Amino acid sequence: MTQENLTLNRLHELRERSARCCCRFCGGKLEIRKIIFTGYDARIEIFCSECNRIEYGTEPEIYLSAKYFVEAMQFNYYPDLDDNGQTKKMNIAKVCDIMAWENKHMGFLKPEGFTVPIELNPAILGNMLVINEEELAQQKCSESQG
Amino acid sequence: MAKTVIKTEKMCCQSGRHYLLKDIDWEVKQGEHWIIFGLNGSGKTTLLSAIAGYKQHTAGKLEVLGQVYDDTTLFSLSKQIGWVSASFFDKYYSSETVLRIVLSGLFGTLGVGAEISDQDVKKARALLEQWHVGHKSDMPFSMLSKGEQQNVLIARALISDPKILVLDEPGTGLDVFARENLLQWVKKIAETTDITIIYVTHYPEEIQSCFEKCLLLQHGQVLANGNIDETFRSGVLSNVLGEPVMVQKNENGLLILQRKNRKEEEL
Ligand SMILES: [Zn+2]
Repeated sequence: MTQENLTLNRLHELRERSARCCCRFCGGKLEIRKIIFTGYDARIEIFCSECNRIEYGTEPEIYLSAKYFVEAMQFNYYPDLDDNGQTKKMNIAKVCDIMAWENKHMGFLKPEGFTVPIELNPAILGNMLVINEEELAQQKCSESQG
Repeated sequence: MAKTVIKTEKMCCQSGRHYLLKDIDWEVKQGEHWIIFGLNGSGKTTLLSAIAGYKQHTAGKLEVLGQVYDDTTLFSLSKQIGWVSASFFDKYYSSETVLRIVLSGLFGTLGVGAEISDQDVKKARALLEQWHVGHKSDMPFSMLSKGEQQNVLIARALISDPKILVLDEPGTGLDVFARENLLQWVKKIAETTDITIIYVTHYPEEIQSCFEKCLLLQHGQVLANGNIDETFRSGVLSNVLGEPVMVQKNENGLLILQRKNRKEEEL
């Protein structure tokens, strides 16, 4: 693959992810941002404005499962830290990473999303925001106009 | 003859009407060890940011490893430069976890993507262990001490086996032992590898004998450029610092900078 294609692929991947995925820490919406203001268009990253951080994100189903796991199982990877909202977010992000790793190695997850239909347990699903394809297309359209 | 790895010709970086760098002519060969010396605001970090591909120059020429930066070469070049700069990365990495910061060095990006392999993670963890911060891998950067943060950035710089190592005031904020370890490591890299080193400091006592070249910057312009014995001299440095100083070597070969008193000036 040429260097030009590599750069274009990255831009495409980041755009797709920002529309589809959510923040591993807060579950919030992601956006594409040029964090460093250079003339190079390639210097973009995915960003969570809620957490004010560069954030590659995770599939929303993984975030919901991880959040449920941390809350219901009282999972704590950081026992030395204060038990507060920030530590909880860090725990959810950690579980997201573990779940994403497992799903990837089981062949269920590719950079472009799940390779199999996902049926989340309703208890985990909670009040998950479901975006259908039409809404996703509209979102992409408004982003490209913006 | 050694290859040229960095070349600038009349390079400028302008912000509005203000020049951060002006007409920089500089050439660095593979395996050379450079000191960049200048006061705060002299353009040191701007120059390094441009070399590492994190800032775009506005005029003149910049070539790194024989190529110019553009959208197609940006990441492939950027990852060959191990850039350690707390003053730059602090802004972006405060809430990022240590492991991800190190992994981002593999791609020349700030964030990390899906391309990470298990091998990459193992390498990152091994580097963090080597730099005594393995136990902090999953912690946010902001929860680490200055010395630990510096070690994380060094691990980030080393993960891509860089051809050029750019160290932007790496001794700042370190305690005396951490600074000693850092200097020993730099010396070892200089003596045992072919990596080009660019070391920015405003502490003369950090200038070790392994550095043979020096670039002096003042107000965004080059004041002197060449062999350290010819550039890092009392007269030029008095000009850079704006007051009379004297350069001497101590018994360990380290440079010492001293204020000249009135009597010495008169002599
Ligand atoms: Zn967030």
